[in-house]
Amino acid sequence: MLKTNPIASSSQFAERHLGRLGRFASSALDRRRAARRVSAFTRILELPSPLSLDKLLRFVELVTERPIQLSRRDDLLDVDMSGFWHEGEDVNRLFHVGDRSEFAGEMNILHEISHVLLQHDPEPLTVEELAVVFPDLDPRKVLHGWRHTKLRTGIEAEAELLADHLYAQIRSGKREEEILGFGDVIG
Amino acid sequence: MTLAGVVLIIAAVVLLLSSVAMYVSRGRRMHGSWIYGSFFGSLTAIFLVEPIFYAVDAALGGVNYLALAQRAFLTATLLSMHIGIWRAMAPSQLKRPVIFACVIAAASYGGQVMLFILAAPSFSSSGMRQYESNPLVATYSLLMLAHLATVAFSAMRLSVRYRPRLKSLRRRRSLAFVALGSGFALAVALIHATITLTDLVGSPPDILGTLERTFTASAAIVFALAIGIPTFPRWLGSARKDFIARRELWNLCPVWAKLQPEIDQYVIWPYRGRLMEIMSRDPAMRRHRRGVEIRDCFESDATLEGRLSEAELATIRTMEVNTHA
Repeated sequence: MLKTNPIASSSQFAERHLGRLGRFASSALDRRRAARRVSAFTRILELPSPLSLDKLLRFVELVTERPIQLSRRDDLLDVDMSGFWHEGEDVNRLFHVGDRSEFAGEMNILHEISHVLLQHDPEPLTVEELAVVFPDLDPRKVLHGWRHTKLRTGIEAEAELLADHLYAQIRSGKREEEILGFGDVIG
Repeated sequence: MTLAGVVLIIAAVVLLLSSVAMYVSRGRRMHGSWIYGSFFGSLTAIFLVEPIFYAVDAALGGVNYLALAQRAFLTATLLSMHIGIWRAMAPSQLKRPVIFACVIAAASYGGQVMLFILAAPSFSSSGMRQYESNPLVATYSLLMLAHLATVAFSAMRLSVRYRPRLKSLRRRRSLAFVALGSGFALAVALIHATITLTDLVGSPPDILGTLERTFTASAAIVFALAIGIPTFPRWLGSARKDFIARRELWNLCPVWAKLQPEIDQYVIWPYRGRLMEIMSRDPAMRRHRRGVEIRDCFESDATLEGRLSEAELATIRTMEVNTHA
């Protein structure tokens, strides 16, 4: 496991966004608490608008201070995972399962990004598990593995709810004038 | 009933409907100040119609209790609008302006209540009439007029500043009406102040009263249009989207239920039946979530897809195309 979280290394981001809420607990949370926390987080998260997946990735690159490389790896399903975040020397790599549906593929990416934005503690992954799919990868540098069977735990529910929110933001395609903020008051 | 009275009733109805429409279709980030402003504005407008005022006052005992309530409605309208305008102008530095707006509102209304307690120490019939005819109360109400003028001027400044930057014709029209309504409201404040001051030294000319009623009715109807123009189309659009989301969720539920034993491990919000699902407060988000859960299920076991008919798979694809679109 890495000792530092990439988001936490950006002190400005942590101070502006997460410092006001406190850290999200990594222990199991009930779903309502997870929803409340995600709702509070989305209110203070100043995402680009109108939002697209590309813009979101650039935003995360900005706060993690490293480029992101997306890699589709369908064989992750062999170890019952849908994606994970890996911090390399110069680049952060986001491995995800590419589903037959574009919708599910995008949700997998958003789920991993949500873990990063929420500063979740890394989930322990066994060396054996990773060695099956990534024999060359240093397992100590894997952050946020998403296991298929642990969705109901607190942090997974939080990441999933934030991914839902991000997906809705991307699909709703906010109009240009709403950036002014006046649209939130009249109309 | 006069023409001004009819116009005020129409404005009150439009403002009330607008506040309800804004409430049911409010965005996640939309603040309540404009909803409250519209709601209290409709109450203020309706009691400016004299026959309605006297009828309701008579029902309350005919001792002019409604005058205090009416001032409270006007104060609440001005306070809500004041906060709404500041939220639009300086969303990141709100603390001071909101405190300022609250202090003005509290001083203008609280002062009138304090004067009532001093000038008419009982809520009896004579007490309430004494209060209404007390020259000190009339003079103090100038503070409320100053608040009205401040809010009207801020609204006008906001409209002039933002209007050229908006692309939507509907919103530009709405802001043009805000500017016009603010002009009428400023005129009302000036005329009423003139009437109050001339009343202290003599009797004001009748034309001022007529002008005040005309401008009041004009300000109310123009503000009602300004709020209604963007609100109703948005409400209709939101109602249509919700209807489609509920219909698709209704169609998706049997597919979801068919996969339930396998899907249970991915569920965040428990499934409580088809009817409860479509009653969800945010049907689009619930539809999206159920769709994700179905896809998660397929990812973990590709054979599950084979259990579904072509029609059921088409329902899932339709949901994916329409979700949050």
